[in-house]
Amino acid sequence: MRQALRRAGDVATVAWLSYRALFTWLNPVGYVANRLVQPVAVATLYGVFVSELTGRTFPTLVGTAVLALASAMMFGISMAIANERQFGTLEMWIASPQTFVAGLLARAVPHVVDGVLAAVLSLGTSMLVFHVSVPAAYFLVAVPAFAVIAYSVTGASLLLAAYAVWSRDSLGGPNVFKLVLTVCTGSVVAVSLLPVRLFGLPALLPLTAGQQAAKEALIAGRLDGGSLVRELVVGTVYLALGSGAIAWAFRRVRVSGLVAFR
Amino acid sequence: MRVLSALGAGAVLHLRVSALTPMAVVSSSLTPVGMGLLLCAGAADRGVAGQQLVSIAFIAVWGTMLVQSVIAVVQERNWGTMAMLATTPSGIALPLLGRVFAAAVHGLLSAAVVLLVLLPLVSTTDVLGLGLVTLVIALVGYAGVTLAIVSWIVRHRYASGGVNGLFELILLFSGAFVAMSALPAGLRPVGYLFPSVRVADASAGTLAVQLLVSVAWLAAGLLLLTGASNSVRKTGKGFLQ
Repeated sequence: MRQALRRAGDVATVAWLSYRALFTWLNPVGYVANRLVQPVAVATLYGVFVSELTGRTFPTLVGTAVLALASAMMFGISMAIANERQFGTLEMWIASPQTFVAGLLARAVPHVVDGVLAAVLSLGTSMLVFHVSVPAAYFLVAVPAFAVIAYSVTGASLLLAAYAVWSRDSLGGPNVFKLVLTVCTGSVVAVSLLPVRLFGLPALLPLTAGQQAAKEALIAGRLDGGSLVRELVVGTVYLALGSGAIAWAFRRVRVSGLVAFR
Repeated sequence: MRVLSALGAGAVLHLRVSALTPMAVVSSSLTPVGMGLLLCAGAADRGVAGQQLVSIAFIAVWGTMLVQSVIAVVQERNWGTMAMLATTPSGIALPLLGRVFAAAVHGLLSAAVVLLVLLPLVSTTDVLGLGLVTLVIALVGYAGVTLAIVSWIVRHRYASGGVNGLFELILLFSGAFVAMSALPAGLRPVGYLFPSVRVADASAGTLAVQLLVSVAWLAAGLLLLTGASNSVRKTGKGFLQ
């Protein structure tokens, strides 16, 4: 019991230190811009745009809230690796007996909480801006959708973190993947409206089914079990791939002694 | 001559560094492609129009210019060369100006590539002539906006993370995605502070006003960057706060 408590304490300390270092709390401009201004700006930008295009705003506002959650997690977890490298602690972390995946998941916890806050703020503020109201019960129905999205994005974030271990360019991966999610999952604009065909790509991405479930919950108050299961399956595949990639990158670093391969 | 030399050194360095990080290049080209696909939503049947091409070119150039300029300042700090530049006769402003210029060139190349990719989808180029004028005038202004942001992060080292939130926010007011009239009423007054790439709103009168706004932004950006360079040199605060 005492060991479990000590372990939980270690996890909390690692998570807090990593999180505090990320946004330089002495000057919280970065936090306000990334977690508050950006999600609201994205929601307003795409909300107005899609409203002009289709006459319907609310599905896009839900989609941008989902993207805010995903973005906070993907960038946060990748930056956790980049900061360890910048502070010179990545080598020590790698050399420590802690399991790399466990250490990374500990660092991911605050970003999940942070992502949920960003999503709530994005949705709340954009609903105020666009004068949209939703029955309170619908938000409860949406909780499983957001939970499953957070699960699948954790898997994708592990993949991106593996890339951040392999490469010194820690922002390129999340930037590109965020763009792919924005365009190809239907979060902002229905895939059928895009001027190019994406074939089977959307089905392979996290968020495609999850954002559909979130929209179904917040627009119709219905729990879309099929979409939730699909998102869960995709998330599990990404989690397996991400854990494997992290373990591979970790082994490569230990064997070669290099903390970046490019 | 000394000024040109410092500007050129900054520009050449920036292009070399960009070549060393190809993911940054890919990322800067993919942003306009991704946003361009969203902008062209619903255009599968009717085709891509002139306004959409102007908006995509704008996103390519300004997006690349802004992101790479901010990265340039962060790099100079991390390399320890910003402090050294501050003590040289050229100061920080000229080499950074060179790097911003190189980032703009990089953005123009990205725009050309993206527009070539989109060419098969284009159905009408009706407003392209006027669109080009609108784009050039707007980009002059947004170069000023970029310089203002760069001078902010030169003065405040922890502000660089803040730029992420500014891109979409300013994009909202640029007219690239939506006309000013479509914005929620409370946001419209802010939009008038920024040059617009909305071709439908362009006439001789509005273009003259846009030009004034753009030149004002460029002048303000240059003044702010020079001020930041002097401040850092005299007080060293840019390395502390």
